[in-house]
Amino acid sequence: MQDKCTHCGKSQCKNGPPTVLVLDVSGGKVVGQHYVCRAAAEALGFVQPKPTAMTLTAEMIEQLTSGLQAKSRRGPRTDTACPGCGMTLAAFRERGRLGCPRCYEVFKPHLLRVLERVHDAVAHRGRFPGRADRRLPDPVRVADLHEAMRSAIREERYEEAAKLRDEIRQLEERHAADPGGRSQAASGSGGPAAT
Amino acid sequence: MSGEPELPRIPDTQGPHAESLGEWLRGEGPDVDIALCTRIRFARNVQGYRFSTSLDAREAADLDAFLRRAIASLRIEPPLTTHELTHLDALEREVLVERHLISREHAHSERPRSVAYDAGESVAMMINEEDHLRSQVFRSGLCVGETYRAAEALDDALLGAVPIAFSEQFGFLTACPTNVGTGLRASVMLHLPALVWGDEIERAAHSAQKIHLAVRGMYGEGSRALGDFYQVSNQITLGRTEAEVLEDVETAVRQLVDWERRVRIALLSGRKADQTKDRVFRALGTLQNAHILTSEECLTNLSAVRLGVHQELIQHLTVRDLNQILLLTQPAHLQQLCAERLAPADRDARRAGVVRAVLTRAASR
Repeated sequence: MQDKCTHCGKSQCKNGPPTVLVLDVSGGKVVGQHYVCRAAAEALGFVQPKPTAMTLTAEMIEQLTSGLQAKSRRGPRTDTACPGCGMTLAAFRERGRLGCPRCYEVFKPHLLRVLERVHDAVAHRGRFPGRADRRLPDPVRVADLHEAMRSAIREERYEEAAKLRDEIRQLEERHAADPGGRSQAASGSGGPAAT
Repeated sequence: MSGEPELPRIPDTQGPHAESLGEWLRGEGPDVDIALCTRIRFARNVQGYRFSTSLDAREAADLDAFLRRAIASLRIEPPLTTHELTHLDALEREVLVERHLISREHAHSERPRSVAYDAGESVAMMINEEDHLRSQVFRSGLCVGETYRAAEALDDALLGAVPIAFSEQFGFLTACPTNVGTGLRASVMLHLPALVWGDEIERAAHSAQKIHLAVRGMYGEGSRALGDFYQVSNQITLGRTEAEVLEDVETAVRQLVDWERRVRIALLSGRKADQTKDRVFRALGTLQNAHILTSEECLTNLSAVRLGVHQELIQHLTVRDLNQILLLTQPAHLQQLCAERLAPADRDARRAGVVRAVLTRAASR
């Protein structure tokens, strides 16, 4: 790297030091070489502008993921209606309120993105109704344990990491044997007829 | 003193008695000089029904009746009394809003809906608000843990009696995805005059917002917090346990309380002391003598006087006197107290009269 950019004459401009090597070629041979800064190289058309972080906007990501989900997961179209209440995705977007508990399953692909944005999370970790021990369900607990194990490894607490690994294994085996073994819904005595 | 208004007794209505302050203004409890009240709210919905905002009138009436019966059957202390909001007039509903027993949306909604609350106003359950049930528990002062335990006991009783919409992945299902998961909103109402006067409030609010807590003015629109009252509450309800949320709120609130206390001491020492005392006693003079008080002017002066009472600059007034003024000078309470509908300009004169009456009564004790 040379001291100065041969285009703008500076050793350090706001775009950084001259880092792009320009080779002058004549008759198939290199006849000279010099350095320019990144901005100058872009201005001269030697390199493609680098994509900045701002180029990929949240809207683009949303469009991208909704396109992918439409293909891969058959996500709801905006006119798909919830069989529980008739709510459409378009109506939800307009009102910001869901129509009934079933909407959460019907509009799940869209909701996951909303929840991620609002809560920075997509899974419940709080209390469960009707469960005496009120422990977290196995899948959520496993995710927490994985995180704890990773940080134990990072911090070289290997004995603790091994214990966590064993606990994860146990929970995964238990969940595989009885995936629906935990309560699905709050249960109460009596209730209104479904409408 | 001739010409001083008598403090009229409020006529008996189905609404709460205006002479009582309710739990949130009881004025006792930990750190109550800064933290007026702690509130825990759970949002819950009944399985098999659409969310309230999507119900037709007949379904809403069915659900309202079902939940009124269910709440009446709960074996809980304190016992609750249920009121159908369609049986109350607009003014009585506004009184409930001003007492924090129902939301403004609940007062103005047109669907069949109710509220259940106890005599001490420490528990309020809104039926057919945005969610089928919004259970709230209040405790005077800063006591997040105790308030949560009372709210959890109420929720346990409810979960034992009513089938509640719940999903293994998303938790308690709510009409708005911003409440899904725990359905828990923990909030503390704070009086932060020193942080406002010392221009620290924005920094303080920002520090709470960094950990996803909302800091809102309790009175007034937008970012202006009339009377220097703020409410700090969690925004995230999914992906964090109740214990984690409570810890976030408690930690942030304790920091704000300590911060406010430090600035209060600073405002009352050195060169600032005279300015602060001047501000406090000018406010007291205004409240004692004004014959017209807008809601804004009343709240602003009450804030300074409240600081003066807590910092023991003013000896003859108690926090309960100020809380009574705070409650009774709100538009609906004022009108109920005077037993007539009042135009805003008339309210300002009546408001000044009520303030003078309470302060005169306190001075003659």
